[in-house]
Amino acid sequence: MDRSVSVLGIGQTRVANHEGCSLRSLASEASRAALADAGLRGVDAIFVGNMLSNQTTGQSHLGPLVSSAIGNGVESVAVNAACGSGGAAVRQAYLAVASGACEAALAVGVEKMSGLPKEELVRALASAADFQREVVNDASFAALNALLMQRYLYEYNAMRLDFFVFAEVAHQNALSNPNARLRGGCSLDQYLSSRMVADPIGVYDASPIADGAAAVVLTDSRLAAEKDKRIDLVGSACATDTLSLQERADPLWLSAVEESAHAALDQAGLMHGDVDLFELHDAFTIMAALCLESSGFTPRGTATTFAREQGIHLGGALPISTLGGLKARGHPVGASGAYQVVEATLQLRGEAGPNQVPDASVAMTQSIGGSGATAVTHVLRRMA
Amino acid sequence: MPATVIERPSRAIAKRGLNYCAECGRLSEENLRACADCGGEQFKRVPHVGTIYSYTTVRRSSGSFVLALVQLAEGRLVTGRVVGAGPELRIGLPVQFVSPEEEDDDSGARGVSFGPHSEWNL
Repeated sequence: MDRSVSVLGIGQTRVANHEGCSLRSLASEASRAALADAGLRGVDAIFVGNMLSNQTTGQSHLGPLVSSAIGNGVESVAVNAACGSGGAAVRQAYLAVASGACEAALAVGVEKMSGLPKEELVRALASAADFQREVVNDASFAALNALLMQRYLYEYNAMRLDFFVFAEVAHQNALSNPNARLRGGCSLDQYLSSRMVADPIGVYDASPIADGAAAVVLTDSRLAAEKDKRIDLVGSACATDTLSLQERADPLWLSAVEESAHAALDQAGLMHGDVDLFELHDAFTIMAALCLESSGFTPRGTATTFAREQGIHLGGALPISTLGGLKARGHPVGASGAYQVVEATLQLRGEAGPNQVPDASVAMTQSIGGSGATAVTHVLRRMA
Repeated sequence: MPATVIERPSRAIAKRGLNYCAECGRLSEENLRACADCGGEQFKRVPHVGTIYSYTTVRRSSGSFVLALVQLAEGRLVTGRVVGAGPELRIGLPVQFVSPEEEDDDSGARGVSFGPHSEWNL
């Protein structure tokens, strides 16, 4: 790519049950906050990450919905990569700026999930799986992730208890994030005694549904030159895999995750050891484990040992989900990938408050659609 | 593919066979010219028996059911429900394809079902 790209502004709404708050108002609140943070009045293009608006609110065609709400008649299109939509929207904004087509672009992920009956929501989410192979058998994402987790327990001789660390750390980090959906912590007893959704996945293995929006303004780095804290997007990559689990040579290896993580690091000229924190796609505890392994941070079958012994908490070897992750900050599906980039930027600016990872200079974010069918990885770096 | 399959079933046990649509993955017993789901015309002949590769009991307010990845005896994975398995449910359990007609399920779902295999014991 010709030009280097900076994250000039970030904005987010609380992740919550925003009843009486429209898709438009959520998206514009986050977008306006990002523009104000960037010190810009407008951008050249807008990319809206969203998965479910059509099913949950009856509204699609979100491009103009958002551009008109923030007073801007520029190019504006929606990007749908299921639960990876937020990350995919950030990547489109990145490509627009890196290619030289735009000086400044805004990516906003927005989702409104509350208000829809649970069974309908489960069905709407399942539409991101392979309809002919999986959904006809009534497979939900909890069920598909349960198939992965059960197999993981079998192949690596692990126990469900080993996954507690992912829930524990995410909930712990969310305690001090005022924007997080779940701020009640998760004790071992809660984890073990919670209701099963699709065994071995219990309530505390899954991320909560929620409403929310997060936005980032990306610009040509020259526009960021005067900022005292310049954060660059130094790596951006997207890869895909089969929609269904059954078509993969090894369901426990997420090849799109592997490819996008390595491509993003290669582009950045960095290595795994350079990454100070990793905002990964912990929609389910098993996904956190598979992301750590397939991204190359720990060999296959060792993620839970890595988490326990090396540490994934704020002071650990590789902090993950530093503001609660999908697991506890909440998972407004099409927005989560944008939240990750907002949170990584807060960390690199040193503005993460009680959740600050000391001396963070490189962050990785990874947004996944389906059970690993789309993976979008970004690497951010503090430049000054 | 990391296999759970321990040994191939005998020819007698695997003899029924199924047609696997190369396009959409639909399994059927009938010899159709075109797939009833997607119209695809390419089929692979696969055994109707396999072992459970992974499984879960999905709990819903409307009731619970078992979903599984089944590894057919030639190695391919397929997604389907498991019916009629009790406490013996486990990874590696031998199962066989259950015809939609044999099935005691009135849910109207047009998915695939497997049941415990009576003769092939691993």
